[in-house]
Amino acid sequence: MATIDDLEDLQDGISTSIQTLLRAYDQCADPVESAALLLQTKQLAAQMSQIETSLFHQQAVQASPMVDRAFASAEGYTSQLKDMAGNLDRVSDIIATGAKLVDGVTQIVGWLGL
Amino acid sequence: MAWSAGCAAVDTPPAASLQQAMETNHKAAMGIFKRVNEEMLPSRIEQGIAGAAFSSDDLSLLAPADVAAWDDILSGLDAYCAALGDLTSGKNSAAFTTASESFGIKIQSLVRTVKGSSASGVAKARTAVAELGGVLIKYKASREAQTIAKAADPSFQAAVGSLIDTFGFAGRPPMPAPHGLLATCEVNFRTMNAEKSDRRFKGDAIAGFDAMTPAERRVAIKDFIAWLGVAEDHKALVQSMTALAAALDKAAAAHTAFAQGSAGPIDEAFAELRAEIQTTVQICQKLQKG
Repeated sequence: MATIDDLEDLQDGISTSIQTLLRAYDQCADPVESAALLLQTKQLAAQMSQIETSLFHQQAVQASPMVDRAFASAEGYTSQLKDMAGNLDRVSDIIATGAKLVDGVTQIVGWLGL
Repeated sequence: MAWSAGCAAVDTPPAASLQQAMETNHKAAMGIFKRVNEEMLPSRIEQGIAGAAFSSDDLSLLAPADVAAWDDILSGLDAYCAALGDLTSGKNSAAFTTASESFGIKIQSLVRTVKGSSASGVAKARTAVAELGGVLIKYKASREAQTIAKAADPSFQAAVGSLIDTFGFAGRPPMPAPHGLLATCEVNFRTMNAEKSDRRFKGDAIAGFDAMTPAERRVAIKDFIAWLGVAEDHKALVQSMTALAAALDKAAAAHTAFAQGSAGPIDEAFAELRAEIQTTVQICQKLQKG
């Protein structure tokens, strides 16, 4: 079930993922990959602020198996990105995981306040 | 909004110091809420681009109704502290029975107007401040500030604690929490400015400056100056939030010491409170200039 605590945990996971993406961006020399990393950090930061607004209103998400799966997926991607901080050379893997996280959080943010 | 110099002399009576501190904290909180919304605007635009619709509700991280609710709640706390100040000043002691009831009714009236916000922190603080008004009405005949403060202390702590929590701090002394308003602002600033901080102006220097033409250098220097200003404004905002959380915590501690009535702890708590007022005033003046 998605509770306020789940949303706060998701925020913490997003925050950690953003750190990995920014570190990868800092080291990345390829302009296309740099642009992708920068876009993902901005998208995730914007989603984090959307979650903060919902938390301010104590708006959680109606529980359902689909919601549970979305949170579990997002948690998996944030965990992967946290691990990837130790190997920033795998930029394409970081971008691919970042894209999945952005998509997953987009789905969750869409459910907030419904 | 203007902040006075706020000189709290060492011999200012405790209740007057508390009143001054909470009025300063009130102004600081309103200024910070406004600045947080301003700084978060780029992020809201980014989020808006990804959405299917965009309205005025999407423009701010903190809705105007929530900010207005905190304004009323803090006005309630100001009125409560003013009542304690009046009682301990001796000037209005004889009339305190009337004044106390008047303050209590004013506080309850203020928080009844808080209708537009569904925020949890607002709801908790509103209940706590309404209880403060109730205490003033209940104890209107006692004329004992300490008795009133003792009865009111749990509500005072709850109201102030809700505000500290809202700013994204936890524990005593308040420390930044990994999520919440402060954490969201920090992530927002870092990501929205990564291109500048990590590339163009990494290490506080203009990258590739030697290869630029004079015209490009002129543009780059102007951008660099603007970036330094933006970074300084953000630093001031974070400092203000941290200082306010500390100041609110000191006010809560000072209220408890006042309620308990032991001379030593009162002196210590209010010395810390008075020092914190100065810090908050200075940082808020800086924030206002930014």
